[in-house]
Amino acid sequence: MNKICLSLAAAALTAGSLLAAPVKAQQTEEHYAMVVFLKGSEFFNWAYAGFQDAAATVGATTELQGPADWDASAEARAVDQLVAKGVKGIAVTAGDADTLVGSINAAMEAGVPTLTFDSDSPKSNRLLFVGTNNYNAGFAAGKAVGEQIGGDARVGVSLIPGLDSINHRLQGFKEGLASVAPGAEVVAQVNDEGDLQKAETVNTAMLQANPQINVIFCAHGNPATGALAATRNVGRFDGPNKVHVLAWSIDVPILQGIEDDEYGSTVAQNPYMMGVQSFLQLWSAAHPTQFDSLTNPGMGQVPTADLDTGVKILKKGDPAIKALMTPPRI
Amino acid sequence: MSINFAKIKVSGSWLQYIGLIVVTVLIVAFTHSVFGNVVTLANLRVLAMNMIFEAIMALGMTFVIILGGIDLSVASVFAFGEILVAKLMVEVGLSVPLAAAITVAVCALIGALNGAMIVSFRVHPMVVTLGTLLTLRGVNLAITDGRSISGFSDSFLWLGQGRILGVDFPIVFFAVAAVVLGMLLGHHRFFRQIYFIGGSERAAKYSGVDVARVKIAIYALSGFLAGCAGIMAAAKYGAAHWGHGNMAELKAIGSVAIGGADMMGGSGTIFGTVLGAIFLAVVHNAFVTSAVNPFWYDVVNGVMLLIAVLVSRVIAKQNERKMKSVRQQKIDRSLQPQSP
Repeated sequence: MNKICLSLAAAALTAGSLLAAPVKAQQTEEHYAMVVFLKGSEFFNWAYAGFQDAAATVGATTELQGPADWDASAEARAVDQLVAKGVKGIAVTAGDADTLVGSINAAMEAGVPTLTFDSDSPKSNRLLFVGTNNYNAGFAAGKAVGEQIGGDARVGVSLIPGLDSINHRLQGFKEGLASVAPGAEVVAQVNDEGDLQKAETVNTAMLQANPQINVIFCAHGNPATGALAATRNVGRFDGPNKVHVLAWSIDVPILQGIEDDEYGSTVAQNPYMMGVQSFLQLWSAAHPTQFDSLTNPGMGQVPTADLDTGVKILKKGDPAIKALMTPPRI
Repeated sequence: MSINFAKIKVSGSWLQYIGLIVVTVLIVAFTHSVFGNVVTLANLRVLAMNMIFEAIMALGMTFVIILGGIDLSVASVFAFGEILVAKLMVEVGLSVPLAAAITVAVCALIGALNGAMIVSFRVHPMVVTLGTLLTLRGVNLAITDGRSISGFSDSFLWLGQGRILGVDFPIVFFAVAAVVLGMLLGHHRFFRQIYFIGGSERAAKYSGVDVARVKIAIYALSGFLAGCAGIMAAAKYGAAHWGHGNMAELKAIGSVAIGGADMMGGSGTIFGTVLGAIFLAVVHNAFVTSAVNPFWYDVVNGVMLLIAVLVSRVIAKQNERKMKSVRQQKIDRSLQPQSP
């Protein structure tokens, strides 16, 4: 039994030593938090790096919370815990818009400035939303394809149906394409269910059924690798009939693929700027000036309109690719 | 009258409980003294609510693990319960009690089906319940198109957000369920049988225990509790979503294992599971309070789970050795020549 007690004591010491690391630093400085629904994702690592760097400019400290699996209820609980802990502000990306409403509203009622970034919870009382305007991003992507391929562009779209964000991207894409290449058109859409293997299967079928397709627009982050594999499957990975795959990701393999001429281009959101702007807005809200915010009395001045952090369509040779290929360490 | 404390023997299980309580208290004391804001009403409430749905599922999991089984499907039954009750109210227009009653009945039925498949096909519970987990996860996605369902009535929201004497309803539910199930497990003949089955299924069968019936009932209980947790979670978050409760099965199993149950079956208590759930909630809270990189959270949970499983196995082995020793002594005595 002594061994059992020793094991438990060792466990206590382990837990204690882990907890002792950032001792007291946060008690003397202002402390802000970011909550994500996919802890460890490269995208959110970029966002958190921006959040941290912006905090460092004013001597504030930060922490990252959230589940490693897509569970919005775990995010809601993280927000509740951070409010109980007494952080100065919270930036949360909503894994599900409705699930976060209660926790965001409770945080705002408790006087903790809370905003959403990347994925919004529009029914909540959040300060504002910081992230990509999906319509504008889709428009930029459509315009880039229209300018590069012209009126001959015949586009197949790989998407997950039913999501508002993707619907807005597709609408923007179609209008952006039409604005510079009126003869171009979207000829087919497939449901990749957000799964790589499924994306390969359905995009292969789409290319076989619609041989006129010369562009695949991946309307979200997951299907690009599957879509590229599909072009290989139908023998249109290179050569004169090469299919231009437009990805929606800044993951390193995709960026490397652009440099290697595998992908045509990618829609690069700016998660780092989302983090920077999220922190700056929270800081502003946490520091009231002579006059309170009209919309959130007791808090500082923060705009209520969504803050569009924009996108860039990256092609081979773009210097931004090199910078993005060195993801931040947390 | 004097008490000789040296002669008081504390069982291995109780030593494990005491150790767990000591470690939990140490973590709370340490984080509170260093970071503050831990032993406050607001934080303790958040701490309790943070694990409450997994803890409710862990109560059912305790019975399943004592039985020598495992139920990996609880997380998807939980999310299915959320979605079903939401659809019945929002889309079908049923009243809260009726929708809740149908939901828990369907979730219990799913659990019973798990049990029936395990008994009928003689397949390992891990395989059957993993199949149910994946199937139901797909169903949850398909019937919601990946969207959440919201717009519940205030009377329904009370089930997740209401309070009784200042205590959140899900916590009250958990406490009552833990007491009732703990008493049943400790004293009711039907539930005592599961220790027998978990210890040796063959011996239980030859002794006249209806193993199939008990197994189906216990898996139904696990599904029922996951359904109850799902209903309260939908009310707590004001939304039902297929992604809620992802990996909750591991936290439920972790609570039971850390609480001292033998993963091979035959031992475990509701009290231990409650301690295990509190421990996991405290560790998670400590991570938030201390702002340690949350990437380490799963590492600590995993290590604690391994330690708990090892300790349980050591205790089980010791008990086995004691049993063998007692048996051998009896055999030796019976073989000794009788004096005239």
